Amino acid sequence: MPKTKSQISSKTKYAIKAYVKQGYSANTIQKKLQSQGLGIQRKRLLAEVRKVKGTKPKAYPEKYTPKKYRRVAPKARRPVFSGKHVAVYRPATTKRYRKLARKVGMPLSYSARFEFYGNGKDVAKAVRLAYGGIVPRWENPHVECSARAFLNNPYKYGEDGEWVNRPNIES
Amino acid sequence: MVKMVNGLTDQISKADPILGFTDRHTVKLDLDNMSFKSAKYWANLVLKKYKLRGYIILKSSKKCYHLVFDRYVSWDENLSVVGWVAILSKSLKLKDYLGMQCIKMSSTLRVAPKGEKPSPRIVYRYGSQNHAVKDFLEYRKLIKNIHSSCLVTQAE
Repeated sequence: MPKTKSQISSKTKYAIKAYVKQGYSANTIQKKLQSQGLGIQRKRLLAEVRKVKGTKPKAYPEKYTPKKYRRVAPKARRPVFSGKHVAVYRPATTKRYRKLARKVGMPLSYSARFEFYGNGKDVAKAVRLAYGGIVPRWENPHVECSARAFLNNPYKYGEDGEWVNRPNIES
Repeated sequence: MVKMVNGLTDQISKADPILGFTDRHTVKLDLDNMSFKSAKYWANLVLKKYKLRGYIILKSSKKCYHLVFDRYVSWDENLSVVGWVAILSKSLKLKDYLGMQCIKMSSTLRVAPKGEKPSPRIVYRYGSQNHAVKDFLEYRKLIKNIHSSCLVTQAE
């Protein structure tokens, strides 16, 4: 049966055993083996040395790697929601609301407000969209939502309408 | 008695929405019909009583000032501060402001221009500025940028 790469020849095994007993380090053993044309993969050599010594691999091998070469987990991103919102507010009106208001005799506009949170880019896009003429529905005039959710589906939170000036009431 | 109501007629004048900064944990006061001296007096009084570390005063329009304090507080403490000033200063507008904050469960200060009023500008700083004030100013910058980009988009 042909030898596989993982197998170590008995000659090498004996040599390693002898060198370990003499107290040589793994590096020195490797050099000595290489000079005899018996060099093997370092990982396998270390396993063999451990077998002879009867020791277990170290529990936390990364400790021996300099910090700058250690694998680092990606930095945690800043949470998107920090409790701070950008408010877009003003009296608003929609075609549907005006129709109803004329019927009932209510003011033609209602106080409306979007409160967006999220990262700067999303908030900017959401505000631009609201500026463009999407206003909260009069049934739910105070909308607090993430800017990304609003961008994905603006008509879930508002409808086409206009931002208007406050009704000028003189008394 | 209401003599004339312009808003109930068919005349609707379009306007741009107003942009503001909203949160629950920054103490913000909207002092209307008050001189700068009185605004500073109330700011110092609140700072001392509630140990709020520092504050900034922004002038929003003639005789209208906004105060932003530096220490983050709980929502309950925030309401307590605003309520205390509203009662002691006998300012009806501040009481209205407090009522609105209670309804919304968060407090808002205007950042962008409103009609002919320009955006509020800083007129006075006192004490620490590293926490709530710093964050407020960062958001203010963001909102101002958003507002200017909206104006550019509209002009195009």
